[in-house]
Amino acid sequence: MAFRLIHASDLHLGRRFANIPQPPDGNIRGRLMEARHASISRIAKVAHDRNAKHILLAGDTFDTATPSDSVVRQALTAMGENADIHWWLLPGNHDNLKDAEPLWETITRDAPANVHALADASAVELAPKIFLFPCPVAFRSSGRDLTANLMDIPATKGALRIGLAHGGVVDLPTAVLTFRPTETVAPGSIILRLATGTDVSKSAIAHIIAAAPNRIGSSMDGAVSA
Amino acid sequence: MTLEGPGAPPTVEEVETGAFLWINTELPLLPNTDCARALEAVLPDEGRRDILIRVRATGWASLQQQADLRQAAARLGPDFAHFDFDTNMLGTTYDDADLDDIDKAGALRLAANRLKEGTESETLSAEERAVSAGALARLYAYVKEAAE
Repeated sequence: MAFRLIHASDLHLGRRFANIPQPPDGNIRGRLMEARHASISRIAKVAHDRNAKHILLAGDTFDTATPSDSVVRQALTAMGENADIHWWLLPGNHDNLKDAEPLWETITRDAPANVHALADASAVELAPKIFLFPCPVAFRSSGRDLTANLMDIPATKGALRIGLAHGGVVDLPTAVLTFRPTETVAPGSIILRLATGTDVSKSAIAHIIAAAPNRIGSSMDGAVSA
Repeated sequence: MTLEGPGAPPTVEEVETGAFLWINTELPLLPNTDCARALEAVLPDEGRRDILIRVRATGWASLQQQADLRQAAARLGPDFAHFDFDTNMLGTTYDDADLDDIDKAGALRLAANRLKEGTESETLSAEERAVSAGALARLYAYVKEAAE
């Protein structure tokens, strides 16, 4: 039984693009902001077209810790439009748990039933024997590998485990070694590390790019993005 | 991403969901490059309104080439959602023909000569040389603009 999911990240909703010059009679900043919001429905359409029931957003869904009410509510409403598709929102560095505490409270309290805040590291069973292990960002720059604890989680035989984290894989060889599917602590299991900013790997470990560039010169140059 | 089960490699399909294209591109120049044509060659032909691009000019170009380049950038830039033209990494070559363009003789030519010496000076700091180079390029541009 195949399990299909959509992995996206860094929507940076509400970003103002103040660094992009705009002529007095122009509207590029508004167009970019609107494109960010519109990415929600585009991602939902991808999920719908491919019959994926789960969308994993690996951090920085919001650009700041204090997005305006309209940015938050309009985003949650857009995600709620298709109740069959579940959105899982992980705190990133921009919308980290400490700075954005009210934001995550709002999402937990007010979001439609199919939109879920991953505000702590508790495992979530997405489907029978398919577990999601979120690694939420607690502080803007904690300086430590939030995925480090994943390997200490006892394996459940026959279970499929998905680690969800925000940020680049800075040490790929180590990551590959650490997440080898024959890893002794997890016989028969696989951990997928979904991270931004690295190459797609067709190995047993999936390092997936799913980021939207915010400035030219970022590691995501060339990516088509909102 | 599709997961077939524990231990099986996942199948990954990349799906574009963006509306804008962000590009960072380099424009390597040589003293004999046709700068305007070279710039046009690195720019995408289609969809410019939805493209944010930074062009970083590198290498060496004469004052005349740099004036051509600036003119081309000013003409083509407004096609794009955002156009950032960076010449900080572009070195300037000076030849007498360029200085002749400023003036064959007289006060402007004297000033140009002094600035050229400044750019080549071994006693000035790199920062001071850069100031001379910037001033000379500006002087050249002003004279060219006034002549047109």
